[in-house]
Amino acid sequence: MIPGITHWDLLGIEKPSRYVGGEVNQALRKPDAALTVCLAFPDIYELGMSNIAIKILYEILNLNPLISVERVFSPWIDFESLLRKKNISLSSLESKTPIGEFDILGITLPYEMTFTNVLNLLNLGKIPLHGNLRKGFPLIIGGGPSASNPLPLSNFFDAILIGEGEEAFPQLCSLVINAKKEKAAKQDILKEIRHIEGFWVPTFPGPVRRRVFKGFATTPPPLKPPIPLIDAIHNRAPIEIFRGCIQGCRFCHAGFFYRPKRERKLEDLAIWGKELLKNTGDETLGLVSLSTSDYSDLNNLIAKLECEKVFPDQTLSIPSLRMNDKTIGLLNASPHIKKGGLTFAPEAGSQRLRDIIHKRITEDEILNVVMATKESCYRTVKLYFMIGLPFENDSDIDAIPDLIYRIEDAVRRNKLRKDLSISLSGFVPKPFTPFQWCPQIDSELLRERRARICQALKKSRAKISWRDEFLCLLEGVISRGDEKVGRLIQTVYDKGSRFDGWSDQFHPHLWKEAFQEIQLDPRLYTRERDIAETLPWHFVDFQVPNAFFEAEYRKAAKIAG
Amino acid sequence: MTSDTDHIIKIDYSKTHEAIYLSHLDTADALTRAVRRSGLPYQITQGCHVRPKISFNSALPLGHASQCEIFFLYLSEPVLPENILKSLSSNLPRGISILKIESVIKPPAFFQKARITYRLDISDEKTKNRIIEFLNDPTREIIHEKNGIKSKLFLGNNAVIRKTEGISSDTAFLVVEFIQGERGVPSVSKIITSLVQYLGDDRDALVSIERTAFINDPEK
Repeated sequence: MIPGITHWDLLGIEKPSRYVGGEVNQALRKPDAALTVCLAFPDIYELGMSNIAIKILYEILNLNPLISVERVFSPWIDFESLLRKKNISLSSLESKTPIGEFDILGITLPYEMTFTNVLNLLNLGKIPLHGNLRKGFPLIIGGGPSASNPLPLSNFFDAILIGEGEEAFPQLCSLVINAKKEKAAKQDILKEIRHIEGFWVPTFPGPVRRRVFKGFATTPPPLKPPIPLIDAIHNRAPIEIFRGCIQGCRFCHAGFFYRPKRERKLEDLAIWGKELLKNTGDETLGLVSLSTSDYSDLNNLIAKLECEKVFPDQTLSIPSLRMNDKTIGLLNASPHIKKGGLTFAPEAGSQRLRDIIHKRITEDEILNVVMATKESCYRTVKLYFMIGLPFENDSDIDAIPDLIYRIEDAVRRNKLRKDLSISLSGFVPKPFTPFQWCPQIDSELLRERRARICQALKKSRAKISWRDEFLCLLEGVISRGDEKVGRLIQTVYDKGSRFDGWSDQFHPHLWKEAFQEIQLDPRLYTRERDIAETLPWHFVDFQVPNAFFEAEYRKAAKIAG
Repeated sequence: MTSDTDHIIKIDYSKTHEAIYLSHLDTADALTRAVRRSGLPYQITQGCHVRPKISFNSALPLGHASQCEIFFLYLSEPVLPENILKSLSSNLPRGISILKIESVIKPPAFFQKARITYRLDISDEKTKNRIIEFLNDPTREIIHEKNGIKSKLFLGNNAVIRKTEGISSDTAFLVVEFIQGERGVPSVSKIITSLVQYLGDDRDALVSIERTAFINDPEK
């Protein structure tokens, strides 16, 4: 099955199905294809199979008869050890071809803390990590929200896509098909790639414009994705009902990365949703977007999907709901919405701070939405808060436990049998947001603020969880980083760092050692930037004017006084 | 419980190739999805979390192939077996194949005790002889460890070699019959795990472990 790996090898590792392929809807290898592409996801199978970007590109490329497309995911630690012990190259799921033998390796970059896994994928594929050491194919192409500032990855990739890939990636594939025919040299291919809107080529750096897929609203989503062999993280058939977000939260990178809002028509969504369910056999259709409550005709869409069910046991999943009247209507009206936990993100405890970050919800709305869950089957209400936000003071910190107690009080008075779960995460200033100039508070201070909240919530029954503060700092360093941060990533990778987003695999001491070893001070990246300063990512035209970010930042500062 | 409106279909299927690495729950999920995709008029379960009404037989250990897996599907109206076969077959992951479809009045009663036949394919003579030696020794200890707790049973006469045959000069297969479900009798899974441990590095010569028959009522 996998050359060099025996049956007993596979039985000795956790979840061998992650590596064997053979899923329903898997693309067939096209032996006469002009181009072979392997799409890689730098985390485990269960996460990668839930990623929409991989599904989209896989389906688009597979429809092209000239392109043979396959997939690879990061192997878990046990399988990596096996590959290394047997000196076997990491191979694709479909044809078990070593990933170094493809023409293009396209790596999705969803999150900064997967970057050591990116290097591990290359290394396990026996592909030199540095672009200048790679002479021919495969071309290593990256893309995804965490690559919007591509500088930390510039040494490792041949080209990085800033923006959306539906049109840009097939364009790049066509270019490479022609270049292969003409036997063009790699440098000449890269020179051409930089002319495709959205692609930034590190060896020929220059200005680049974020690519926006204008045809999103009228183009079907992936309708025949491979069906995971094991339980994926999001076990549902996802359909993006719109892309972009109109809320304009000042901290939110995704809100700006996916601009402008493009909405798919209700009638189209109903047809595509049904086809997707028929093709996958999923019981749940996930109506996915950054803020599903903002779909202009959500109630009618839900009514239509419930009315015209494909399966008698079909349910809907509606993540990313906002705490407003529309959500209250949904909670009361939709009997076939999947009942698990409900998650909302008030982000800040005080109205002052919610206004500063432009999170447009009031405390009354928060309380009303929680109360509206009374008659629903939802057992848990989870609330996300950020700490370390710009202009935050002690009273904003104290406002979080105060709000929780008021919610608990209302829950008790109204006899709601709901569990409350609180998640705390450190604020990470991201490029291409109005807060891109803001300082990121250091891990120690963040820890103190978190401890202050936990202490104040000692009498609360809410379950509290938090994200590691040092992990937040690293995310900030990488997202606002430069080429030197690329050296940091490679140094920590060489020390054995993998799966940094997994709490049981994250080793802060390796990162601290790496900072010391290359004499890099994280404060260089977490510091406040002057508005007049040229930011490292200035060469990216994000299609949102810098003047807008600046004006938004000033508005926030004005509210803060 | 069955009702007058139940149309119960017994479906025999095989599990080979990549599918042997699917756990019992993942196999059940793959079959459930296939039933949904097939467009068959399936019944749904009662309760808060409704699902297609399907019942599965006992779990096949991970890594074992099988030619005798079954599940029962409840339909709300009659459908010709050949149509069921056609609609299910195209919706299954690689390695799961439908072997037989028949309509039944009710699913058979489930007995703890079962007679299970396995075919073991072996690629060298030495390993074949070691396996025979292992299975023919009733005093053989079958040690099982779960959550740090060790339990010890004896193989006894619960593994009977029914057939030994050579395929070529260096490839052979054994047909072994196991009794399972009696108090004090180790399960097939535990026996085979112990056998593999006993083989050590020779285990690579045990190239396939395939369940070929499962008789749930051993009195028959």
